[in-house]
Amino acid sequence: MIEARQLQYTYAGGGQVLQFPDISCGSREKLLITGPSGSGKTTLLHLLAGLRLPQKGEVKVKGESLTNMSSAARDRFRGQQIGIVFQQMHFVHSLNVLENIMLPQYTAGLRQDAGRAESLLEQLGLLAKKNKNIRHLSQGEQQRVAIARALVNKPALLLADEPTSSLDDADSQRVIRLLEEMATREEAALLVVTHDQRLKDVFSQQIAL
Amino acid sequence: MNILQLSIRSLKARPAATTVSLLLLTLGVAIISLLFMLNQQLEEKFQKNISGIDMVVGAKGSPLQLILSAVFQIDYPTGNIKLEEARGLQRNRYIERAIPLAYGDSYQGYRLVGTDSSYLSLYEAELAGGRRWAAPYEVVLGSKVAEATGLEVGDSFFSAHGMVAGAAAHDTHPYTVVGVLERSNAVPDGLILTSVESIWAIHAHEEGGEADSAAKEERELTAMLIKFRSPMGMVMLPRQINERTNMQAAIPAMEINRLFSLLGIGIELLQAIAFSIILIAGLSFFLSLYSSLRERKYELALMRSMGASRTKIVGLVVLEGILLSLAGYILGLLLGHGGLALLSSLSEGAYGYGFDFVGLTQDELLLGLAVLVIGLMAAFVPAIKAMRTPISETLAQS
Repeated sequence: MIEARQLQYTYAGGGQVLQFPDISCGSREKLLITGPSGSGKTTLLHLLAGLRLPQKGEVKVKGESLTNMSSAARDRFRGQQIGIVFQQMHFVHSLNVLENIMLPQYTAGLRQDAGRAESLLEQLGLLAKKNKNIRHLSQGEQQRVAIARALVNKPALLLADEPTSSLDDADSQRVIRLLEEMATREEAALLVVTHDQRLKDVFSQQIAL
Repeated sequence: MNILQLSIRSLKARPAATTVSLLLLTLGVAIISLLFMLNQQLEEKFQKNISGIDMVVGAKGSPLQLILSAVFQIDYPTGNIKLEEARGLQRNRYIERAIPLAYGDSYQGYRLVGTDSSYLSLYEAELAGGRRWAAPYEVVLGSKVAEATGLEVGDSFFSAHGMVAGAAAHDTHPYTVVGVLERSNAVPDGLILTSVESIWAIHAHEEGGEADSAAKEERELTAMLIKFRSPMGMVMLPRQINERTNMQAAIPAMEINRLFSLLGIGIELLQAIAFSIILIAGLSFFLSLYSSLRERKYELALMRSMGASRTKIVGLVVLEGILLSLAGYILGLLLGHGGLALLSSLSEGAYGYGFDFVGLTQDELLLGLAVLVIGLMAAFVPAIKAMRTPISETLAQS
């Protein structure tokens, strides 16, 4: 499903060269990438999603190389095949909950299907809030909206960046279970990067940076 | 969801800034379109009303005043001229037609003008009902006068001395309405027409009704509208009249051109001010868009991460500029045309002159293009900035 080989990245300002271990995660598999703060976890996640390009190495998703695509093709491919739950939850605040979840359908150039978005909201227990403004949702609810948004286009790969960092123990378990459950139900590969020690035993497959 | 909805939502998401830009734009467009229409219609109206009048002869004074009073019936007369002197002109071989005018009285602010039937043919004014005036004290009403006063054929009224409503009335002899004119969109619409003799008679009556012969010597006209038989008249007559008689000759076309060249400066100044307002609208929109990017760059990076290409992001921002331009343009035109309607009803009350409603003029279409360009320019820099926003760095920021 996703394969990354010999990834190497240096920030524009120079400084340390980040070298990442090879990563491989098949469809329906779940992989946890752990590492301390500053080890380049977010950078790795962005490299895997094609939001950034590595100086060396290659990322392949569904057999297609992100590094070789044109910028527009990469954007479109990512929109259709990769769902991302960012550490910082950003939303389009002029849109309501349902519209935020449907937004990726538009941006990825797919058919807009409110039913699909609503069924995800229902699974996440947020259907009653579909017409609410994002700002009126709690932190936890916002995170669930972000998960629904990442899954709405039935991506082959679901990436999550520190999904549990600001949560207490109970919530952190709940969120990781939710991600797992949703990824299984949607038949997406799940790849989580975190420094959260509480998660170290949740997935059998792990890579430490 | 589509790019149009997203742009509209984004404009709505900063209501204050959008409203200010939109208001400025609307105001600028409204003023310019109003000026366009005023200028064009004034010129048309004036041209229409002077067609067929090569020269106006009246008492000495300001030539512009003579034209405004005798042709357009909006200024006070310069004075009177002797009937005998005027008659002399009528026999001049260069003159094809001389229409006598005697005025100075009014009814409810509408001018009573003594003339002959050639005045009606000058404006191709047709009767909507009744007949033309024949005997003294018979009048024909212009369409606006009939509408405003409610007078009908068969009614009678007392005129007032002077041009102002409510002035001392000539209460010795009433006028009788014998006809009403159809609307001609020209001067006669706002006039009450009668024979020159009626005007003489009512003033003679007033002064005690002494012997007719004595009054005859004193008979006067206020002005005459002249059409030349040949261009030679234009060369010969005005100078001759101005130098050798107690009368004044004024050329309407020349005076109107002079008036418009004076007005033109004012109109150009107003247009420059209105255009500055539009530019300020563009600037304010630029600033609002630019500063909103600080907050929106996360949204835009997010959309990129969800598959939107750079072009789509640029389109989104540019579309906001286009939408604002179009909205301001359309609202401005509505306001401008509405303003003209208001102005028309006001000036119709005050001067008996209204304005017609016209479709879009070519100038207004060009204005639309200019507004669109300004909107695009205002959105251009923010759009480029949005396009260059690095997705990864932006999304990693808090």
